[in-house]
Amino acid sequence: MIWLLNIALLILLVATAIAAVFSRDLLAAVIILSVYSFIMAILYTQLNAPDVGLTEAAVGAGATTLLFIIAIRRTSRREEE
Amino acid sequence: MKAEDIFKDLIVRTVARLMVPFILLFGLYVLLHGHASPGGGFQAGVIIAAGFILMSLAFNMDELKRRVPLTFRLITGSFGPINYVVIGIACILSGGYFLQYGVVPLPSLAPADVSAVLISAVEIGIGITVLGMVTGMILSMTGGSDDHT
Repeated sequence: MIWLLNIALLILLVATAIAAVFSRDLLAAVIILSVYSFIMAILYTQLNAPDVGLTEAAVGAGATTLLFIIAIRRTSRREEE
Repeated sequence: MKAEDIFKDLIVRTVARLMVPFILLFGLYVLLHGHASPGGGFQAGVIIAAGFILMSLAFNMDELKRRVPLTFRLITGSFGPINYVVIGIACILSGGYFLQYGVVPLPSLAPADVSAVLISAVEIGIGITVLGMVTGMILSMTGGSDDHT
C-alpha cells in the first residue's frame, strides 16, 4: 500500500511546484518551495537514497530557503506586474 | 510587519533558542557517523551552518559576522581540500593508491580501523570547509563591510 502514499506525495509535489510558480507573494513562494524540497526528500528516502534525501532536506529546504529569504529581505516582497 | 522585522519575532527567537543546540548535535552525529550511516561531511557542514545562521538571524547578524571574519572563512574553506590531498598523498607514500586508507601504518590499529579513522578525518575536513563556505555565502548575501568575495 506504500504506492498510495507515493502517488499522493507525487501529486502534492506537482501541486506545490505549480503553486510556487503562480504565487504573487514571493515569501509565500519561497516557503512553498521549501515544502517542495521536503516532499522531494521524503521521495528520495522512499527510493532507497537516504543520503540524497538528507542532502535535499539540508540544502534544498534549509540553505536555499535562507538564501531566498535574505534576497527577499534585501529587495521587495511583492512581485510587480 | 516590514520585511526587516521578520527575524525579530518572539516566536522565531524562542524556537531558535530551543532548536540550535539540537541542530548542532545532530550535525555532529551526521558528521561522525558518516562512514556507517547516511550522511557525511557535506550534509553535516550544511546542517551545522544552518544552525549558526538560524541563531544569527534570530539574534544578531553582526555578532556572527564579527566572530567569523572573512579570513577565517577563507582559511576554513581551504582546510578541507588540503586535508583531503594530504591524506591521499600519505596513502600513496605508504605504498598504496590514492585514498587507499588501509595501507597507512598508524600504530596499534588494524587496517579496517585505520580506514574508519582516516575516512572520518577526511569527512571532518569536508565538513569544516562546507561550514565555512555556506556561512560565508549567507553572510555575504546579507551585506556588510568585509564582504567582497
